Amino acid sequence: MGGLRAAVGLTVVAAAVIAMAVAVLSLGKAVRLFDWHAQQNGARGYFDRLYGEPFNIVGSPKVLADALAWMPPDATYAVVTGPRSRVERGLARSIARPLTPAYLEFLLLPRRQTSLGSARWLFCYGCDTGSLDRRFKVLSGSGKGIFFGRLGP
Amino acid sequence: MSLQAIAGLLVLNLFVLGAGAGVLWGLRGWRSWTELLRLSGAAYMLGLASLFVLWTLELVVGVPFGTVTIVSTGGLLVLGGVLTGRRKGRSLPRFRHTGWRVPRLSVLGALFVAGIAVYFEALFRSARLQGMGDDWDAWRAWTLRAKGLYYFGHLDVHMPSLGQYPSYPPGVSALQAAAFHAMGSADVVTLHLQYWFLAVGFVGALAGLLGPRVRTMLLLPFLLLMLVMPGVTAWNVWLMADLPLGYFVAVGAVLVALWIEEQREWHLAGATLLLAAAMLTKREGLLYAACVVVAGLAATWGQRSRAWPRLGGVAAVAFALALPWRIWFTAHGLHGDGPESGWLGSLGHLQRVWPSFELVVRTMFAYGFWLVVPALAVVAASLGILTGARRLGLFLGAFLGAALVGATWVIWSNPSYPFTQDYSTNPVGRLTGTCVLTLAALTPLLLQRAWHATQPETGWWTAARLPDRWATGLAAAIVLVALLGYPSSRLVGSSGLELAGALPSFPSAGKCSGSPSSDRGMLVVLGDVPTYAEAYALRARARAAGIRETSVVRSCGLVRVSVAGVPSAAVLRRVERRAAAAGLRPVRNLEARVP
Repeated sequence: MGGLRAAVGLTVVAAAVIAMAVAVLSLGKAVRLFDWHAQQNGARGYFDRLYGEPFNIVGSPKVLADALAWMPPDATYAVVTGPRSRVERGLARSIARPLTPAYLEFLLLPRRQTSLGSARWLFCYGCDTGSLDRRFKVLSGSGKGIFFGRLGP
Repeated sequence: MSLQAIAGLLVLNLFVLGAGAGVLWGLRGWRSWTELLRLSGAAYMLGLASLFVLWTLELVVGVPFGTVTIVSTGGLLVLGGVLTGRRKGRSLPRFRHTGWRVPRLSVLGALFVAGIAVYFEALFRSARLQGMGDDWDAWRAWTLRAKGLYYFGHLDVHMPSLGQYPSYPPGVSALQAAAFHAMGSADVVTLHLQYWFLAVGFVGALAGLLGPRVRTMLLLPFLLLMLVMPGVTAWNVWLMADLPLGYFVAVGAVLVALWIEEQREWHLAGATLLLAAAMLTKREGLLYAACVVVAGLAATWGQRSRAWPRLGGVAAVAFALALPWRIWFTAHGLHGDGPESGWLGSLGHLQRVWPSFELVVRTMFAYGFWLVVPALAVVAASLGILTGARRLGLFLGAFLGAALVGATWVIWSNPSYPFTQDYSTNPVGRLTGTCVLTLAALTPLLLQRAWHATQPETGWWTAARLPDRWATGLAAAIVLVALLGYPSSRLVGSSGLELAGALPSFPSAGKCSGSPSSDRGMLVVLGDVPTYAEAYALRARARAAGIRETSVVRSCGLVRVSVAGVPSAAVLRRVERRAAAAGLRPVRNLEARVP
């Protein structure tokens, strides 16, 4: 019994010491990670922090900023994607995924994403603007096949 | 990103604490205000859990989700707690109960308190200006829905993106929406600080519940260890639901464990609320609530006639509290939270069982995710079973076993999950995280029980001590240096941790890294407005006042209307006079110079 007591006591002490050592050794790593995030965050501007993302899902911060400045809070908009060939190669992969409309939906709330037929504004990713059956006035472009504009009656 | 937003979050979390204090008063009361101080973390978690339950119910029945609803819900909880306390005959608490004194901290304990303090200071600094870039699930589900709740006040089944995750419970989104209301805007950057408050509340809850029962030299290292686990550190900067789920399950499990030992009914009532909130946080909440109940059943096998009906009641009530949400998404025809292969269809993928189990075990004990916590938990459970804490040891062991089985089943029954630890394609890291947080919370309790069962009250560990006055002073100094040292080093820009110097900044839309300036003459800014519509209206007013050469340019987060190339001071004064007559407030751009 005395042997069991000693073994238990030693094991508890060992567990506590191991926990202490690992916690202390890992604390520096954790703080450095937070500091790295803080440095990255601090280097970003207001707009980039609120609306930016590292994976280039939207494709053009300029077009996004213009869209935010143009569309009122109750606006409806559509996202139309055209053939890959119309968009610069570097962006094609990112915008071919369905994430672009999803990320725009998140960024642009309370503005509503709808179908083309009921939208007042439009994001065009490599789409054929001439084929739109309503007059499309381009208000902003990235120069790489990404446009934003207003759909007229 | 403003001080106002941070202040709003602080108010919200004090509100949660207040609501939780009401719940705690109803469940158990407190003898003194110092006792409430000790249990403030537990009160916070109970308040959060209760708000999750009530907010979900309100959303399901269609109550508009706004400031009035948020505040009224908290008021309801306080009122309910007060009335319950009165019915139970609780007397008003004293300031402090007889024999209470300020808890003494050893020098070694102070080092760990200092470590925890620095951790939270660093987390605060990081979270304060954190963008949304890596928060994939947040912008596709949790925070997307939160913005919808903030702007529209109700659950919206028509948001296209949300259609991918319709059965994700609304608890976290409701909390985030409440945070938006408290901050006064959908500030998704400052929202990251809400997770700082959650972490503080969680650690406070464990410290308050376990503090009287576990030696500080067992408890404090594990609290710090839990925080610095790489899996926790990484998630603390994301707006996802994994950590809130882990917090609810861990504190709920601790309460069940305490009930097993001490038979105090408020522990079970509190656990019921927390497990219900877990189910309203993530779909896995149902799995982990079941694991806690199963563990309780296993641990109380010897007292099953008395214990099992109570634990069954916990399960039933917790499930009932989460049921309205399940009814809502089912009634709206949204697909549920079952596995891809179907509940029975997983039997057609038996070849995935072993690889799934192996992946779960490997991830659970991976040092790179969870350090030594799971291994120490297994040791603690074994010690508990060997010594007098058999029920606690069985509870921890059964919880671990149930969690391993449950996580294995999740991976196995979703054939699209590859067998990888990459969190973007397999949730095994997040699945094991909830389990490990719970193990970390229970381990010090078990180690203490094993120690107490086998060791005398005094020994070499009590003999080797500094005189009390010296120890107290040194401990206080250590904590103070840590609290002040980290932010001070940030201010002076020297810490060895690559910190930039300077006072904290509070960015706003108008403050950009570079102001527009004119090479020819002076620039006069007529206004910075948020939209083009307002900018063109402002330009029309300027033109009507005779100011022709205006330009409209988007500048950072605003649209600027300005007059560029003002050639002389006389022209400048004329422009300013006309602008003032039109009700505008012209501002000279100080960077440009008159030639």
